[in-house]
Amino acid sequence: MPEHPTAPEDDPWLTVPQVSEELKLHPATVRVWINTGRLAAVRAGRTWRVRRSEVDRALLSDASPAYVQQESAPSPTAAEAPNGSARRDAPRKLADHILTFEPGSGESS
Amino acid sequence: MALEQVQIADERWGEALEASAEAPPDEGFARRIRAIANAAEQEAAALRHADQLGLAHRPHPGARNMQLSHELRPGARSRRGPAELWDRFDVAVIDLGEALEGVALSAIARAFDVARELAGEIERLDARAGARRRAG
Repeated sequence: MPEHPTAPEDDPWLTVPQVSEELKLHPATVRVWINTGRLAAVRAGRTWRVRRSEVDRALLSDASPAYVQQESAPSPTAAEAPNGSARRDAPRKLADHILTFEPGSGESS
Repeated sequence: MALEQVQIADERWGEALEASAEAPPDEGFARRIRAIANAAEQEAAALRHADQLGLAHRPHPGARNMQLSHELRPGARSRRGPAELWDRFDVAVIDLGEALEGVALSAIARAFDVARELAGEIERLDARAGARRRAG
């Protein structure tokens, strides 16, 4: 989770509908951002809560090229998701992960 | 040979992802996402054939966090078309990643099918919108 330097009262927890309304995004898009790690969130029962500062950070992560240049952002394909998991490129060589089974001798690849 | 078919499909899949990886926002968007749709169809067919022969998949751990390319990532402004369709596409990519974390080639093939269908729909809408822009 990212650090939140502001006081908690200045950085309230938002629901998915509130984030959706603030960013003018479909709630499903907000949930996809959470599920893919673009937006850090915590579970509150069956629903998610997101810090307002995290919403700002996620929005700025898709800033214009000029902004990105100013901030000298890292390579997008190697970006780290806000939830700490590395966002990785999709596998390109599926054949290398095909397992063949030889009768009577277990498996080989 | 099932493995060779997957290798051939991999070549198209890799080329399609590479073309989309660092692409600038331009009129080539429709062509690039069509290439991804076509490659996904090839992967689905090859993997289904491999599955029918009893082959299995060695999982890709962490694949659910994958992105296909920078221009196709969730929330990217380079994405053109209905937000609802892109939401479904994002879910399809997550589903594909989850399938790639498992051993079932049939599940991966199904996930490629869904991604192919949605990418194809996005491309058709974008090509139609492009034609309207050029007309006027």
